[in-house]
Amino acid sequence: MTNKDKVIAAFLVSVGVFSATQAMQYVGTLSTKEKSKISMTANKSSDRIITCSGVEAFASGSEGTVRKG
Amino acid sequence: MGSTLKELGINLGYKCNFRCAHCSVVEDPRTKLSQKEVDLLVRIQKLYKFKSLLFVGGEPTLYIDIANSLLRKAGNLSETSVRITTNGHFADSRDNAVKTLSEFVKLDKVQLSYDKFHAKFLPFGNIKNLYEACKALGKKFSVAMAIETPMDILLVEKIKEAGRFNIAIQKVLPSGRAKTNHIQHPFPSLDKKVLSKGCPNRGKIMYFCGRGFSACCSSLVFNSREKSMVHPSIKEHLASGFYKTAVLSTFGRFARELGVGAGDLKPEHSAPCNLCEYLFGLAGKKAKLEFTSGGRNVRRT
Repeated sequence: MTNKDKVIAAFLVSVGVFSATQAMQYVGTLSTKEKSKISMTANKSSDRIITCSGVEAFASGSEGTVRKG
Repeated sequence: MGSTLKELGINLGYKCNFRCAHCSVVEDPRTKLSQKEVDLLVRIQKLYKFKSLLFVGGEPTLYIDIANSLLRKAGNLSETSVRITTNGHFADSRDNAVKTLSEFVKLDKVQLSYDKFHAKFLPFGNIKNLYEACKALGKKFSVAMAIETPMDILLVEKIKEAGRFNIAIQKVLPSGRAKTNHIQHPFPSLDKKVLSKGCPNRGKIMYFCGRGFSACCSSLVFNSREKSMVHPSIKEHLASGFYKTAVLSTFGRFARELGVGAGDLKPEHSAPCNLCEYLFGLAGKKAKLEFTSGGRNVRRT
């Protein structure tokens, strides 16, 4: 796993999308192009992204976890 | 009345002017809160004194008259924050957004639903218009973005161009239209930590017009017509086996009662709502469990 892979995995964990194990597995499935795109977002988007604690939109049919960036 | 419940979500009506492929709501669009239901919710607010009221739909701005009827009758709401989750259809200009938001007799926070699904219906400019309107009116503004895959997060960069506000990322659950359209966020493996969790809506309760109260805000309510998960009164709901099992307990405990172990679960059960729906489905199907008010969590028949 490269440093870029680790950055992407950490980003996905930090925004509540995956657990650490899931994030590493997911990153392993990405193409080089996809990794570049998501890594750019990860580097730029750490602020102002909240992942909801529970169902923030409440009744939106979505689920997440909250962390303020 | 003291209560651990902090927020009451109110589904004003099911009508929406968008047809998003991932929407969890698949109810009759003609159904909306009746006057009798408004009066019930006014009594409930006076009794429980919720710190937060959330109006959802359908699209809540199509029902401002009903929301206002409730807000006017609810008495002193100085200690209560009122928020909406909207699709932002009315924000084709900043002035029109100001006009619509100002129609609410009380409104503190606006959450816009925007993602690749809503983008098919909402012009991007509406985000900035709504943000600017909220800023002018002193209301908090945020965006909720549903993702079907982690790559959908790339849209965050574009949304940020509309202004400086928080963006909440949420995984799409297979509920309602999302289920019909086979849209759901993937999980590469099972995250066993889900078994130590309970319902993420602890502290919140929802009122679904025409149906009743439930802590569940999507999967079980919209995918199942099971009456034991929705109740005509909060008291009845809080005393129900469903509430005690899904909200006050953990999924691990519920799974053990059903003889389900981590090895029986699939990657998608990493999401608490998916696991909850699976376990209740299993409970109903396999063991013919009956959820009763006031009794134990489950009663075998």
